[in-house]
Amino acid sequence: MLGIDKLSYQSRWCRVSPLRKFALYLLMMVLAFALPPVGQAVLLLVIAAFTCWLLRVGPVRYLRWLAVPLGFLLFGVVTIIFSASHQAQALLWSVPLGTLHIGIDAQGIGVANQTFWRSLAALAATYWLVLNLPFPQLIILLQRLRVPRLLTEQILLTWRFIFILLDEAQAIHRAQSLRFGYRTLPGGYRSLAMLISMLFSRVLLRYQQMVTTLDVKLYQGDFHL
Amino acid sequence: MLATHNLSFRYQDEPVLHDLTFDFGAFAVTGIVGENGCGKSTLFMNLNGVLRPQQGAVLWQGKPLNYSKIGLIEHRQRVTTVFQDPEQQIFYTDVDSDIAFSLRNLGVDESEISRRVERAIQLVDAQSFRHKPIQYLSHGQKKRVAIAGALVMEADYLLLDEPTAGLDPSGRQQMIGIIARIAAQGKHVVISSHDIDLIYEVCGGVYVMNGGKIIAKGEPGVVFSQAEMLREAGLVQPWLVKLHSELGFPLCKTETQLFNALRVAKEA
Repeated sequence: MLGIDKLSYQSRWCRVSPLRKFALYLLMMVLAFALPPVGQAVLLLVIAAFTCWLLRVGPVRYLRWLAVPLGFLLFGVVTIIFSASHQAQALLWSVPLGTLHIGIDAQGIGVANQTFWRSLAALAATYWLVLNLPFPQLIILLQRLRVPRLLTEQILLTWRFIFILLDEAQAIHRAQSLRFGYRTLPGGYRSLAMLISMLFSRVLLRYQQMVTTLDVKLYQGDFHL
Repeated sequence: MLATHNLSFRYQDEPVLHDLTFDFGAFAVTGIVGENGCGKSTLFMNLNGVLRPQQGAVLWQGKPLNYSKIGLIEHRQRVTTVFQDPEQQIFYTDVDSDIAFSLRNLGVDESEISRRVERAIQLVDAQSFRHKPIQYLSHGQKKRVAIAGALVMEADYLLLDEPTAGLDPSGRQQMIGIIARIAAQGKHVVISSHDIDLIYEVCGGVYVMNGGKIIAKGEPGVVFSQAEMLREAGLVQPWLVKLHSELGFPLCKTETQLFNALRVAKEA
């Protein structure tokens, strides 16, 4: 299950107006982009501490969330640090590769430094918003921001059905593992294929059931958000 | 008054319901029992107008159902349905909007909606979890939300498909209470189930179905005393009836009644 959704309901700011939260988010984002790296680092710490306090979670759990995008971020930063040049003197440190020199240059370090802290601060801000904004408030926010109705309805239904699908996928997977469906690699692939096709047919079945229920509940083409 | 007259239904070439005549107005709570695949759910789909019988008719106040769009909208305000699987009928992520859904579809005004939602929530005893996101509710709680979503219509008839399937003993007991409260408001409830003890306890009248036909009908005490017929239908007798027919205990409607009767007998 996606515990993240549950967390937003235990936030100390759960009932604060979504518009205020969004305004604060915008402010955080502006700061995350405008401040120098040291300021961004401080901003990151402040947002992280604020998030932990609001959600009543420990720093370890927070770091674990941050670790997921951190991997991608580090990978990206590494490619910024390294650059290629025809003159070895232009680089702080380098290895020759044919006529080229691959190495680290001062400018790259500067850019990488900025990118790293800016991304982290922006990530922390986005986490802060996502973790403190329960789903119904997100819908209110989308409406206030005049996002097209069709899109908002789509988001609502998708969100609802993600959980149903996840549950079903989990149940099928569990049943398959209990009957040794994932014991060998080829068997595992076969089981996975079965899981996907089964999920697909269940989705169609769900769709039919949903159409019936909508009928019975007198649906007229509007979800009344 | 909801009834059917010689209703037959088939999917393509596969006949499912044969010549069924029901009268759901005779008792406050009517039970339909039968083994899996006997046509109970298909019958419900006929009663709420989702499926249309090839022969015979669903009757409202003695008149055949009008299958035009307007006719169906009208009919579904009088006859509401709760399906077995609550996941199938909950669309929102919060309890209140989901319960209000059909009222909003009808364009009922918001003050009336909040009054009715409040009442429905009280009726199914959902106050303690109404602010929780739906995906974190238990199966039994979702079932109560689904029922509340039908109750807001304040319809004369409520069709409940397997209301106790998948519930724990306390959830089942709560469901019995909910059904009793709905009936006490003067509404009619039609329950399809193979929880034979439940049907025996809460229903005023029962129909036994087998292979798409009605093979017995009447008061539960009488119908459920026919052990041979029930066996044929793939059912068993309710335990209270078994105690009566096998051991000569007094025939009681509920456990409490039986225990009280036995206590009186013991003291005498």
